[in-house]
Amino acid sequence: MADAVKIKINGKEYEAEKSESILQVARRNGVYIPAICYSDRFGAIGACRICAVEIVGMKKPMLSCAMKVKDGMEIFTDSEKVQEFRKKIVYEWDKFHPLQCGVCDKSGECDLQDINYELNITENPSEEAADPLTVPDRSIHYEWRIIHHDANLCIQCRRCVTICDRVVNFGILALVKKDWGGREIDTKDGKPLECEFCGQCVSICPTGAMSSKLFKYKARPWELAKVRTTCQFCASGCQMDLNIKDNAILRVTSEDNTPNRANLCNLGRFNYSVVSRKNLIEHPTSNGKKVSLEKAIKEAVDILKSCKSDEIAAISGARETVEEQLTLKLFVENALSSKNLDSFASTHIGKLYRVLPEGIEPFNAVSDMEECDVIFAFGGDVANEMPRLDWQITRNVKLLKQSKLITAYWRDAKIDTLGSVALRYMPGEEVEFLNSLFGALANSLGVKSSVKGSLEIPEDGVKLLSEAKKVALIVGEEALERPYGEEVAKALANILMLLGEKVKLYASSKYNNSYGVLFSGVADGFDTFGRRKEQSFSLYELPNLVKEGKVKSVLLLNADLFTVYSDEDARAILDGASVIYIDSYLTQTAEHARVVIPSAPFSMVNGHYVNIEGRFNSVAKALEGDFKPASEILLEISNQYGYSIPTGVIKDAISKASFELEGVNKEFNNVESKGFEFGDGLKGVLVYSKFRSGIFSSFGDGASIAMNEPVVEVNPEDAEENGLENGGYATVEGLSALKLKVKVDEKMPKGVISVPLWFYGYNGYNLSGSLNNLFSAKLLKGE
Amino acid sequence: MLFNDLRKGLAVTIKYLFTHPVTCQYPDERLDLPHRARWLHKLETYEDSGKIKCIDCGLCERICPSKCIKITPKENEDHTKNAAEYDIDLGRCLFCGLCVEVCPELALSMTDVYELAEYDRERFVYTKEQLLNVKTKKG
Ligand code: SF4
Ligand code: SF4
Ligand code: SF4
Ligand code: SF4
Ligand code: SF4
Ligand code: FES
Repeated sequence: MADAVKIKINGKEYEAEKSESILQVARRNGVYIPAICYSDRFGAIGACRICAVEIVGMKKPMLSCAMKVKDGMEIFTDSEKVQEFRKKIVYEWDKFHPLQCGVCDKSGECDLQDINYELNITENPSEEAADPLTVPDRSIHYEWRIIHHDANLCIQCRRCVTICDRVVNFGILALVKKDWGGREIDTKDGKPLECEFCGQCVSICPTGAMSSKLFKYKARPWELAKVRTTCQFCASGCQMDLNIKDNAILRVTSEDNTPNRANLCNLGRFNYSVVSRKNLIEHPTSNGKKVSLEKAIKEAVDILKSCKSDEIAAISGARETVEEQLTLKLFVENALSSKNLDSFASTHIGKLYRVLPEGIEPFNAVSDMEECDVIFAFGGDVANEMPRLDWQITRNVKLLKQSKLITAYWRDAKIDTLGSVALRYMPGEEVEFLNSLFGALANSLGVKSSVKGSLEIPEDGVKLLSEAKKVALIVGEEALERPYGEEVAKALANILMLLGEKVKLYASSKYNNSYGVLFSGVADGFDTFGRRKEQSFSLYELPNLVKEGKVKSVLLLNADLFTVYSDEDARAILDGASVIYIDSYLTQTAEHARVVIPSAPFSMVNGHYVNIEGRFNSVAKALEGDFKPASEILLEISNQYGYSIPTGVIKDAISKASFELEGVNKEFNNVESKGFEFGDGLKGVLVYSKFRSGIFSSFGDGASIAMNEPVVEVNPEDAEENGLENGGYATVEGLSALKLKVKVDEKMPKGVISVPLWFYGYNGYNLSGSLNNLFSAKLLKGE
Repeated sequence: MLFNDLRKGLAVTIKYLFTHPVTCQYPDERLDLPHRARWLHKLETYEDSGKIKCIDCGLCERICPSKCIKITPKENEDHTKNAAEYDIDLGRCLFCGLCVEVCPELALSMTDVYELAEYDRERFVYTKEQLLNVKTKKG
């Protein structure tokens, strides 16, 4: 270690690195220094000053969170001088601080309480000396949808400002000067807060000044039991703690030492009420009538027995645990002897991983993105698709300032606000773009290949990519879900192969266990452990197979058909085949399926989800309920069908918990330059919203309060041409029509409109057709 | 002598028939309880507004050794908090008085009402309404 130094803290010698701060060294060695504004999530702010320590040779106490260590430094963390200094700061905070710990939600986990206790503060000379008439009138109680801000409790540590800016990259909060002379936390524009409602500010606030309205006064922190589990909303696999009291989830928190650094998005942090009873399927039904579980299972078995094996198809929704997926696989392949098994994961990552080039690492730890000097985000709005990737990109670019960002998409998105080299194409041109990029890149790297495209790729982007030491390639789910997604995947594979060892792949997925699907082999083209096998059945064919009468019975595990199919196709499947539906949530599929069997929802089941990193994360049962896990239901169905599923095989696979998925492609693919033919109208694109993941997510309070209806985003000129106003309504016409609220956004390219997916009651696929996210659109002014 | 024992016994009985009783004639009369006797809880209200004093700080719930207090809070218009429900399960209460002692709002007290027998365990759970309307015997 060239940068190694030796320092003394409280008389004891420690080794440290030059780049470390005093606080970091102290914490690493278990020496306590109070710190309120500092957080591992974003580093030092230097606002609270409570971390001051005495350094021999310096007159004033110095801030240990900001001060880097120097060789020979002698530090005292707890001298009288320091204590006095700290006390004075706390006196200022305490001055006129409302004494309402008795009701304050923060009480029990409040840093201000703790520091008062620690310094044994029982009186406040600063308040005694103050004129009571100078008590600032901070009667502000902002109620921002989910977030409650009480300025009276704020100690102005700026943690909320910092996390919103440097972790979330939203940057809406600021300390704003107020009429009474002081400053208060407020929105920069002074308007009521409209933001991502991720609650990161709530999670970081050391006092009760930022609190969650969903949790407000529900319980005292010490009454809550915490159960560590994995988020059920996207494949990031964020680790979170369900806070339980009286068999209900009252809030969701996370810890600094999780891989996601305690960060959670709106869905993870606030949408926990999806698992409340009113959103769950209460009892088994058959033909819409309530039946007992035994009867429903028997009915399911009868249906399956009445069909030939190739007349049965099974689909996994990519949201259930790996255990449940493996049970499904064993049942379908061994008991039913059917090859018709696929999963919603095949709509995106399945396509890419089927053509993964040899030698490319299939999965990478998200935090390892920090090794990359260039981040190349292609094909989707990552911030909406997978917030955890957004935070990591923000960390690399904004906080650590060690990576350059290249974005390739059809519009400017949130991550572009970090400063990016923006490569743009029009929706429908993905393949052409990737081929052009490949051509330019191959040229600059001196690789010979015939793959070329017709688009001009800006020089700076190509240069950055070809000179990068390590590239994080982020693949948006949206691009892979184009109707020509397979070509997109092949074109991407070419680029992966070109970049070779220096690339780290991250393919985003809104489905929390889509990577588990690859492991358990329920996706077309994959076998257990992610081994490759022949493709045999695709969910893309299902509607036709049912219409032609080739598939007579469909077994759905957590696969709400409306998630990927248009109403028309979903109804055709539900009416044309005998559908057996095992799921927890009261989806539209549950309303129409022939046999419905409720299974234990997230939070009532133990198991594993696999995330984008290929990591097996535990899902823990936190609530009691009389639901059976889907795996048990499948075991029972299988038993009655006459096959006993070897559960040992499942256990072995899980305990192995490692993939045998390897890239196979050795040659550059020949990519057909497929695109999409739009009509003369507008180009319509279905996109993902930050506030939805799966239609069932609409049922939760966090998502629905943050955004209760979908909006169609329109370029200002297009809006004017069609006589539309921001906030008004428009009828969007594609294959059929949806009436949607209009958001005029100058970041939308002219001629393109976007409609978000998965808002309950607004099926975007009605515009574009099933399993497709492009359509020719017309906009009509709504009445 | 025959019946001597009986005679002696009866003499005592007859003697006491004509003296004043020393036991408390419950239920015709009640003992005077000491000032700090700890019997049925009472939820206090503000004299002027009549509002409940309990803010649901949860300290009584926390300190209760037999975990027999359960409070369900509510948020008021002005963002203050009060108990929407306040249950004490007297079937488990050991009348230690810790809940009263810990209450920072002096919202809870104990009265001299000790007639608490019930036929049914469920009826030992006193609700907020019952606890607000406790009438002390002394008045
Ligand atoms: S912010 Fe902390 S110190 Fe202030 S009232 Fe709440 S718990 Fe008490
Ligand atoms: S909820 Fe998230 S986006 Fe909104 S202000 Fe807080 S940190 Fe910023
Ligand atoms: S609201 Fe909380 S996090 Fe923000 S400055 Fe005030 S005390 Fe700090
Ligand atoms: S939805 Fe994704 S990013 Fe958000 S908390 Fe859950 S796992 Fe994390
Ligand atoms: S008197 Fe003691 S046991 Fe009874 S409710 Fe109060 S704290 Fe609990
Ligand atoms: S922790 Fe160092 S200034 Fe706040």
